[in-house]
Amino acid sequence: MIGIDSILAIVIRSDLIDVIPQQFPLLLRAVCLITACRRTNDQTMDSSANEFETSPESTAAMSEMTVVDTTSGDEVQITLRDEQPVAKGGWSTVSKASLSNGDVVAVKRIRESSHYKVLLAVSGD
Amino acid sequence: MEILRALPPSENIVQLRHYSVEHEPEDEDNRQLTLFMDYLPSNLQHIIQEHATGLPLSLIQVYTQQLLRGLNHLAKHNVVHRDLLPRNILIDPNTQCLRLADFGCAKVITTDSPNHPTVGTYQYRALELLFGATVYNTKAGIPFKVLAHSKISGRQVSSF
Repeated sequence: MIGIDSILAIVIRSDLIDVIPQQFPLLLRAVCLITACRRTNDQTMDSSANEFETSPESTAAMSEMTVVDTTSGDEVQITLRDEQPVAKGGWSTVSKASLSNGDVVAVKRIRESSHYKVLLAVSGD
Repeated sequence: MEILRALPPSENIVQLRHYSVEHEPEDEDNRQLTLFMDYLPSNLQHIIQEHATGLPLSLIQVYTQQLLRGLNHLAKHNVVHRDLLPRNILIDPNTQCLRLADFGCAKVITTDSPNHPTVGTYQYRALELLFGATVYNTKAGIPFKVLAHSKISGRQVSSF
Protein backbone atom coordinates (compact mmCIF):
# COMPACT_ATOMS: atom_id res chain seq x y z
CA MET A 1 0.00 0.00 0.00
CA ILE A 2 1.32 3.42 -0.85
CA GLY A 3 1.74 5.64 2.20
CA ILE A 4 2.21 9.36 2.65
CA ASP A 5 5.98 9.03 2.53
CA SER A 6 5.76 7.27 -0.81
CA ILE A 7 3.67 10.07 -2.22
CA LEU A 8 6.17 12.56 -0.79
CA ALA A 9 9.02 10.65 -2.45
CA ILE A 10 7.28 10.66 -5.79
CA VAL A 11 6.36 14.34 -5.56
CA ILE A 12 9.90 15.35 -4.55
CA ARG A 13 11.53 13.27 -7.28
CA SER A 14 8.88 13.90 -9.93
CA ASP A 15 11.64 15.59 -11.96
CA LEU A 16 12.99 12.10 -12.57
CA ILE A 17 10.08 11.35 -14.82
CA ASP A 18 12.25 12.86 -17.56
CA VAL A 19 15.07 10.40 -16.83
CA ILE A 20 12.86 7.48 -17.77
CA PRO A 21 12.90 6.81 -21.54
CA GLN A 22 10.61 9.23 -23.31
CA GLN A 23 9.15 6.56 -25.57
CA PHE A 24 7.44 4.99 -22.54
CA PRO A 25 3.84 6.12 -22.07
CA LEU A 26 3.41 8.53 -19.17
CA LEU A 27 1.64 5.91 -17.05
CA LEU A 28 4.47 3.39 -17.53
CA ARG A 29 7.05 6.05 -16.64
CA ALA A 30 5.10 6.80 -13.46
CA VAL A 31 5.12 3.10 -12.57
CA CYS A 32 8.90 2.99 -13.13
CA LEU A 33 9.30 5.94 -10.78
CA ILE A 34 7.15 4.33 -8.07
CA THR A 35 9.15 1.11 -8.44
CA ALA A 36 12.42 2.99 -8.04
CA CYS A 37 11.11 4.76 -4.94
CA ARG A 38 10.07 1.43 -3.45
CA ARG A 39 13.42 -0.11 -4.31
CA THR A 40 15.34 2.70 -2.65
CA ASN A 41 13.30 2.48 0.50
CA ASP A 42 13.48 -1.31 0.74
CA GLN A 43 17.21 -1.25 0.26
CA THR A 44 17.64 1.04 3.23
CA MET A 45 16.77 -1.86 5.52
CA ASP A 46 20.32 -3.20 5.67
CA SER A 47 21.84 0.22 6.24
CA SER A 48 23.40 -1.03 9.46
CA ALA A 49 25.37 -3.74 7.63
CA ASN A 50 28.44 -1.53 7.46
CA GLU A 51 27.90 -0.03 10.89
CA PHE A 52 31.10 0.89 12.64
CA GLU A 53 31.95 -0.64 15.96
CA THR A 54 33.24 1.51 18.78
CA SER A 55 35.98 0.19 20.99
CA PRO A 56 36.98 1.15 24.52
CA GLU A 57 40.64 0.30 23.75
CA SER A 58 42.90 3.25 24.31
CA THR A 59 46.56 3.69 23.54
CA ALA A 60 48.18 5.77 26.25
CA ALA A 61 51.51 5.93 24.42
CA MET A 62 52.40 9.10 22.60
CA SER A 63 53.49 8.98 19.01
CA GLU A 64 55.24 11.63 16.99
CA MET A 65 54.52 12.05 13.31
CA THR A 66 55.74 14.27 10.54
CA VAL A 67 52.71 15.50 8.63
CA VAL A 68 51.79 18.14 6.08
CA ASP A 69 49.82 21.13 7.33
CA THR A 70 46.94 21.54 4.88
CA THR A 71 46.73 25.33 5.22
CA SER A 72 50.40 26.19 4.79
CA GLY A 73 51.64 23.10 2.94
CA ASP A 74 54.58 22.90 5.35
CA GLU A 75 55.80 19.75 7.05
CA VAL A 76 55.19 19.91 10.77
CA GLN A 77 55.79 17.59 13.69
CA ILE A 78 52.76 16.61 15.76
CA THR A 79 52.39 14.52 18.89
CA LEU A 80 49.43 12.21 19.25
CA ARG A 81 48.29 10.90 22.61
CA ASP A 82 45.37 8.90 24.05
CA GLU A 83 44.56 7.42 20.67
CA GLN A 84 41.31 5.49 20.82
CA PRO A 85 39.75 3.55 17.93
CA VAL A 86 36.19 4.69 17.26
CA ALA A 87 35.27 3.31 13.84
CA LYS A 88 36.35 0.77 11.29
CA GLY A 89 35.34 0.48 7.67
CA GLY A 90 36.39 -1.62 4.71
CA TRP A 91 39.34 0.56 3.69
CA SER A 92 39.96 2.65 6.74
CA THR A 93 40.04 2.96 10.49
CA VAL A 94 39.20 6.08 12.48
CA SER A 95 40.61 6.96 15.88
CA LYS A 96 40.11 9.80 18.29
CA ALA A 97 43.32 11.35 19.60
CA SER A 98 44.64 14.42 21.35
CA LEU A 99 47.31 16.71 19.95
CA SER A 100 49.94 18.30 22.16
CA ASN A 101 48.08 21.64 22.02
CA GLY A 102 45.01 19.95 23.54
CA ASP A 103 42.92 19.75 20.38
CA VAL A 104 40.99 16.53 19.88
CA VAL A 105 41.13 15.25 16.31
CA ALA A 106 39.85 12.33 14.28
CA VAL A 107 42.68 10.31 12.76
CA LYS A 108 41.62 8.41 9.65
CA ARG A 109 44.02 5.81 8.30
CA ILE A 110 43.34 4.60 4.78
CA ARG A 111 45.34 1.78 3.25
CA GLU A 112 45.51 2.17 -0.52
CA SER A 113 46.40 -0.90 -2.51
CA SER A 114 46.44 -1.68 -6.22
CA HIS A 115 42.94 -3.16 -5.82
CA TYR A 116 41.67 0.10 -4.30
CA LYS A 117 43.10 2.04 -7.25
CA VAL A 118 41.36 -0.29 -9.71
CA LEU A 119 38.07 0.44 -7.94
CA LEU A 120 38.70 4.17 -8.20
CA ALA A 121 39.50 3.83 -11.88
CA VAL A 122 36.31 1.85 -12.50
CA SER A 123 34.29 4.47 -10.65
CA GLY A 124 35.59 7.11 -13.05
CA ASP A 125 37.57 9.08 -10.46
CA MET B 1 41.84 13.64 0.14
CA GLU B 2 42.51 15.88 -2.87
CA ILE B 3 38.97 17.22 -2.76
CA LEU B 4 39.12 17.95 0.96
CA ARG B 5 42.47 19.68 0.47
CA ALA B 6 41.18 21.83 -2.35
CA LEU B 7 37.80 22.67 -0.85
CA PRO B 8 37.66 26.06 0.90
CA PRO B 9 36.77 25.71 4.59
CA SER B 10 33.14 25.64 5.61
CA GLU B 11 31.67 25.29 9.06
CA ASN B 12 29.48 22.45 7.80
CA ILE B 13 32.19 20.41 6.08
CA VAL B 14 34.70 18.42 8.09
CA GLN B 15 38.09 20.11 7.80
CA LEU B 16 41.30 18.32 6.88
CA ARG B 17 43.99 19.79 9.14
CA HIS B 18 47.03 17.62 8.44
CA TYR B 19 47.84 14.55 6.39
CA SER B 20 50.69 12.17 5.74
CA VAL B 21 51.39 9.65 2.98
CA GLU B 22 53.60 6.65 3.66
CA HIS B 23 54.64 4.25 0.92
CA GLU B 24 55.40 0.67 1.79
CA PRO B 25 59.11 0.03 1.18
CA GLU B 26 58.59 -3.29 -0.61
CA ASP B 27 55.62 -2.20 -2.74
CA GLU B 28 55.34 1.35 -4.00
CA ASP B 29 51.78 0.70 -5.16
CA ASN B 30 50.63 0.27 -1.58
CA ARG B 31 50.53 3.30 0.63
CA GLN B 32 48.89 4.46 3.83
CA LEU B 33 47.17 7.81 4.04
CA THR B 34 46.70 9.33 7.47
CA LEU B 35 44.23 12.18 7.66
CA PHE B 36 43.81 14.42 10.70
CA MET B 37 40.38 15.99 10.76
CA ASP B 38 37.89 17.65 13.08
CA TYR B 39 36.52 15.26 15.66
CA LEU B 40 32.77 15.21 16.26
CA PRO B 41 31.59 12.62 18.76
CA SER B 42 28.37 11.47 17.10
CA ASN B 43 26.60 11.21 13.77
CA LEU B 44 23.06 11.48 12.43
CA GLN B 45 22.58 7.70 12.51
CA HIS B 46 23.27 7.59 16.25
CA ILE B 47 21.08 10.64 16.87
CA ILE B 48 18.20 8.99 14.97
CA GLN B 49 18.64 5.78 16.97
CA GLU B 50 18.53 7.76 20.21
CA HIS B 51 15.18 9.29 19.22
CA ALA B 52 13.11 6.21 18.50
CA THR B 53 9.90 8.20 18.05
CA GLY B 54 11.46 10.80 15.79
CA LEU B 55 13.51 13.93 16.25
CA PRO B 56 11.99 17.08 17.72
CA LEU B 57 11.11 19.66 15.08
CA SER B 58 13.66 22.13 16.46
CA LEU B 59 16.49 19.62 15.94
CA ILE B 60 15.26 18.80 12.44
CA GLN B 61 15.36 22.50 11.59
CA VAL B 62 18.85 22.96 13.03
CA TYR B 63 20.26 19.91 11.28
CA THR B 64 18.51 20.50 7.97
CA GLN B 65 19.72 24.09 7.77
CA GLN B 66 23.32 23.03 8.35
CA LEU B 67 23.01 20.06 5.99
CA LEU B 68 21.77 22.31 3.21
CA ARG B 69 24.52 24.84 3.91
CA GLY B 70 27.11 22.09 3.57
CA LEU B 71 25.57 20.80 0.36
CA ASN B 72 25.36 24.33 -1.01
CA HIS B 73 29.06 24.80 -0.31
CA LEU B 74 29.84 21.59 -2.21
CA ALA B 75 27.58 22.59 -5.12
CA LYS B 76 29.28 25.99 -5.37
CA HIS B 77 32.56 24.19 -5.96
CA ASN B 78 31.08 21.55 -8.30
CA VAL B 79 31.69 18.77 -5.83
CA VAL B 80 29.23 15.90 -5.54
CA HIS B 81 29.51 13.85 -2.36
CA ARG B 82 27.98 10.61 -3.73
CA ASP B 83 27.92 8.85 -0.36
CA LEU B 84 25.59 10.99 1.67
CA LEU B 85 24.00 8.92 4.43
CA PRO B 86 23.26 9.45 8.12
CA ARG B 87 26.54 7.80 9.18
CA ASN B 88 28.57 10.32 7.18
CA ILE B 89 26.83 13.32 8.72
CA LEU B 90 28.81 14.06 11.87
CA ILE B 91 27.17 15.87 14.76
CA ASP B 92 28.40 17.31 18.03
CA PRO B 93 25.45 16.74 20.41
CA ASN B 94 26.73 19.47 22.76
CA THR B 95 26.73 22.27 20.20
CA GLN B 96 24.41 20.64 17.59
CA CYS B 97 27.08 21.46 15.02
CA LEU B 98 26.74 19.33 11.88
CA ARG B 99 29.48 18.57 9.36
CA LEU B 100 29.56 16.41 6.25
CA ALA B 101 32.32 13.80 6.27
CA ASP B 102 33.81 10.91 4.30
CA PHE B 103 34.64 12.27 0.88
CA GLY B 104 36.02 8.95 -0.34
CA CYS B 105 33.40 8.77 -3.12
CA ALA B 106 33.29 12.51 -3.81
CA LYS B 107 34.10 13.92 -7.20
CA VAL B 108 34.46 17.28 -8.88
CA ILE B 109 31.87 17.21 -11.63
CA THR B 110 33.00 18.33 -15.05
CA THR B 111 31.02 18.42 -18.26
CA ASP B 112 33.60 16.53 -20.31
CA SER B 113 33.90 13.33 -18.30
CA PRO B 114 31.17 10.77 -17.70
CA ASN B 115 30.42 9.53 -14.20
CA HIS B 116 29.85 6.05 -12.92
CA PRO B 117 26.32 5.50 -11.57
CA THR B 118 27.25 2.73 -9.10
CA VAL B 119 29.32 4.79 -6.69
CA GLY B 120 28.38 5.18 -3.06
CA THR B 121 26.13 3.29 -0.70
CA TYR B 122 23.37 1.65 -2.72
CA GLN B 123 20.65 2.20 -0.17
CA TYR B 124 21.11 5.97 -0.23
CA ARG B 125 21.88 6.42 -3.90
CA ALA B 126 19.91 9.09 -5.75
CA LEU B 127 17.16 7.71 -7.93
CA GLU B 128 18.63 8.92 -11.21
CA LEU B 129 21.72 6.83 -10.45
CA LEU B 130 19.50 3.78 -9.95
CA PHE B 131 18.34 4.42 -13.50
CA GLY B 132 21.99 4.33 -14.59
CA ALA B 133 22.53 8.04 -15.22
CA THR B 134 26.16 8.80 -16.11
CA VAL B 135 25.66 12.49 -16.72
CA TYR B 136 24.61 14.21 -13.55
CA ASN B 137 25.26 17.35 -11.60
CA THR B 138 25.79 18.25 -7.96
CA LYS B 139 22.16 17.43 -7.19
CA ALA B 140 22.93 13.75 -7.67
CA GLY B 141 23.91 11.94 -4.54
CA ILE B 142 21.47 14.01 -2.56
CA PRO B 143 18.92 11.43 -1.50
CA PHE B 144 17.31 14.18 0.46
CA LYS B 145 14.00 12.43 0.76
CA VAL B 146 15.56 9.42 2.48
CA LEU B 147 17.59 11.61 4.82
CA ALA B 148 14.68 13.89 5.61
CA HIS B 149 12.39 10.94 6.20
CA SER B 150 14.94 9.34 8.50
CA LYS B 151 15.11 12.50 10.54
CA ILE B 152 11.39 13.12 10.70
CA SER B 153 10.25 9.59 11.43
CA GLY B 154 13.20 8.41 13.49
CA ARG B 155 13.49 5.36 11.24
CA GLN B 156 16.28 4.35 8.93
CA VAL B 157 13.77 2.66 6.69
CA SER B 158 10.64 3.91 5.06
CA SER B 159 8.47 1.15 3.68
CA PHE B 160 5.39 1.36 1.59
